[in-house]
Amino acid sequence: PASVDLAAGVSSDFVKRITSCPTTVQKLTPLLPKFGFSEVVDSAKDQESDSKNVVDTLISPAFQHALSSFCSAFPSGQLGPLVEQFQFGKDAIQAAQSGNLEAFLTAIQKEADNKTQEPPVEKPEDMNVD
Amino acid sequence: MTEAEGSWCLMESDPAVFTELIKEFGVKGLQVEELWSLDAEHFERLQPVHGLIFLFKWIGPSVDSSDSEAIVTDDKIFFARQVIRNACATQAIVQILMNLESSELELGETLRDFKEFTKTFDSSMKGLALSNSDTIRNVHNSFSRQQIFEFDNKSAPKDDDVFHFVSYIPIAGRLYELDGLKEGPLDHGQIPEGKDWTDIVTVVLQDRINKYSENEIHFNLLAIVNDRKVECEKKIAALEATGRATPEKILELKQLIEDEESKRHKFRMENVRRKHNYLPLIVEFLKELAQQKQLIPLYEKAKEKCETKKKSKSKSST
Repeated sequence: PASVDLAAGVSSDFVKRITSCPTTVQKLTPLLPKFGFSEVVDSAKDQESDSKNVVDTLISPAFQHALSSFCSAFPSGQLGPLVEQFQFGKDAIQAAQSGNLEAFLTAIQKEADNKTQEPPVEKPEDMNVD
Repeated sequence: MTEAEGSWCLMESDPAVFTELIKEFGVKGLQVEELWSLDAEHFERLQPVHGLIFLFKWIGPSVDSSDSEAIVTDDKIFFARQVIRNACATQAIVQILMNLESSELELGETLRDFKEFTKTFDSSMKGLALSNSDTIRNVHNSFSRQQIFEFDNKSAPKDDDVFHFVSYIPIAGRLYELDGLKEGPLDHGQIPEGKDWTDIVTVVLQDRINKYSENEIHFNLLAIVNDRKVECEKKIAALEATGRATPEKILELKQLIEDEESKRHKFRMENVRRKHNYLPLIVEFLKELAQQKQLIPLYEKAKEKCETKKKSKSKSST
């Protein structure tokens, strides 16, 4: 089967919908490119600007390009060793080694479903701002 | 993630990349701007223009047979033959920098040393020295898109990015074309008295563009110009020194400086984005999508989109 490019579905509407969830923003923020400009660092506590930074990155040509390469490289199975670094379960790693993107994503979904039964991560104390 | 020893990555031809690239070489007082057309007014806005880089999709050796007649040998011109692939972007800009006559320009240590070191070399040796320069190569490579996957290159379509960069520059009153794939500098003749070299080069470029069929070729034109911010600051200083400063004039120049600063900020952001390793983000993104139960729907949607795209493509090609 031909490779599917996930970037084709990552539109700005999609990204905005996804980043309306504070936990998602919180998880993705540390992995964004670091600009090291004072104004960005200063506002880092601000949930709103965090979410904007995540959106800006996910819709940037650079990220979209990286996601496309990820998808186009996936069927070769050579992403297996790279994916292993990220604490995936057995099924996901196997799918990555065999180059099956659909099976890989299905395995990630299953892992997530199993995890939701655990207690949710405690939210940071951002309620008493103002 | 590692590039093979000595290899050069493909680089994007973008003013942000070039401006930062020359800055990291240590060059001071210059920046790179993109030109969207050959209209005189676009050049006017950027004057003085020191050199141009013309980028186009390479379609094999030039059809222009008259080239050989105009190729010159002149020790005073820095010319390096291109000996390796993918370096032509850097090669094109280095060719221009090495030949600049502007006194305001500071080449910086790296390029100054390189110029000195290669002074007596012939053009092939210069090209070889350029491709073997660790400093220049490292700066160049730091601007390629992060290769998160070592085999990224192999999986890329074969036909893409056969782009070639050619430099145009005035040297001692004549217009030269420096193309690393040619034997030597190409002399386009004397720049007539009272004319700016850009008046001549636009004619040459237009001719060149006309030779290619329109829809097959991508063009891109970059200009090496003075640091725009410094230029504006100098103008303000000059106006104030001579007492000709009006509030409107100063405001206008200050606005230009501000625009330039925000543009540079954007450039820096773009370059940081370009150099980032996105693999951890991709992985976390997929996990988060799974948390929100959006992962499989995204896959299905993307699959559908890729299929319709393929269908419409095969339709249009038959």
